[in-house]
Amino acid sequence: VFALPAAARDVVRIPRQDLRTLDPALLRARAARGLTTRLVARADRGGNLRVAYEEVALGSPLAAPPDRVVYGYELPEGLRVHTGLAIGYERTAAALLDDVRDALTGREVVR
Amino acid sequence: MSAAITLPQGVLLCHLPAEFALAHGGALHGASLAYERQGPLDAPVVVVQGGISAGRHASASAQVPGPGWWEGFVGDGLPIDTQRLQVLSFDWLGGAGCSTASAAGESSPFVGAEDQAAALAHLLDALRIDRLAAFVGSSYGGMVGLQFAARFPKRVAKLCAIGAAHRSHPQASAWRAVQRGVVELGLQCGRGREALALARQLAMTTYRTPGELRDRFGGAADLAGGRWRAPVQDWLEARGGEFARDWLPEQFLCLCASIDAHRVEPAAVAVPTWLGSFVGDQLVPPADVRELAAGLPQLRGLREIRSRYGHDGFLKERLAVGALLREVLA
Repeated sequence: VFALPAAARDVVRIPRQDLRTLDPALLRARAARGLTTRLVARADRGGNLRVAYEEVALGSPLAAPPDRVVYGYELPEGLRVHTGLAIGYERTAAALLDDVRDALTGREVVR
Repeated sequence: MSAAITLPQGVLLCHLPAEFALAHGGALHGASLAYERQGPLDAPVVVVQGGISAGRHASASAQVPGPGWWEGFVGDGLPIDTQRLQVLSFDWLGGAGCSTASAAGESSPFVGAEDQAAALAHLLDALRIDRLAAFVGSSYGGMVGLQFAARFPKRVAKLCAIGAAHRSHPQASAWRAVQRGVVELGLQCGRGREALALARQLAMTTYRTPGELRDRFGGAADLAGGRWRAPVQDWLEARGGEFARDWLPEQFLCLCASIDAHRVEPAAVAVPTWLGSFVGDQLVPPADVRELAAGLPQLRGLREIRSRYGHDGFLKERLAVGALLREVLA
């Protein structure tokens, strides 16, 4: 996090996966294998940022329900995980719907 | 309770509902349950839980090679055979593992055995497990198993409760009340860890039998540095110190009280049930387990095992406890 401030101020420049690249068949195949998919933001010590939909195991701390936001960082003794309340199921669904609408109308998705 | 935890390699985590309501009032916010799975993921699932100091790691496995709390009972070819069963174990809410618990200096909402059972139900939902092949619980784990079977009878095919009854014996509660009093006094004096070590020393004397302590520490006391020191003290202090390194006083207070608050109506445990008790157990006397057995609608077996280890017989009596487990899981 210490390496991020300059880049993090300009959210638009953070590489992020377009919703339209999600493959429904892949999502279904993951579910069949006992896995799930989550939108994950990653930052490394070099200040590189990335936001993408990732395959996540059910037992991963990242497999949080939509009413939770989770962030973590590596420590020598393990992964330090913080969990907080997120915007909730309805507002998450509304935001996704907005993304889909934007994608369908060809508008840039910045959120 | 804190929503920040540190997860060692290999720990799995289940997020509980944002507001996890507790049976005795209050709620945990943003809580999570740490757990471990061992054995084939497509095999019938057996939940294995031990006493308050036992956690998610029941035995060594390829994924998590360190020794667990129930070595010799869980593993390939052992009574709980991980070649044909999947073992699921979790860290207690409120305890010293990686599940949500109090941080130092935090006041903690009370977590009952029925709350642990409710948390397990959420874990099963998250893992898409409809029904357990069995719940095997010892000591506090047995209490939680009874609570789980009473509340979610359709979600478990068999229950095996060892060294656990439908309520705590008043004498055992008295000993634990003294332990909590010691820890609370220690916290007030800013010496919580030392107090916790002392409380654990007292607890150790209740887990074992007078016969075992006589055989191991029957020598004469020594006078050293102007103070009398009994042979048993080295052992007590080592066990107390070990416990106080791993636990916060607040966590001990939470789970210790949880044992005393446990109470379940035997008639409500409408699941095929096997019970085990230990002759000489000072905490859960066989008479209490017989009383539970008499009230169970589907009692399948009751074993009274003679053990010089008393309540800790579930950790030590491999042959007798193993035979009971094989019968349950046949």
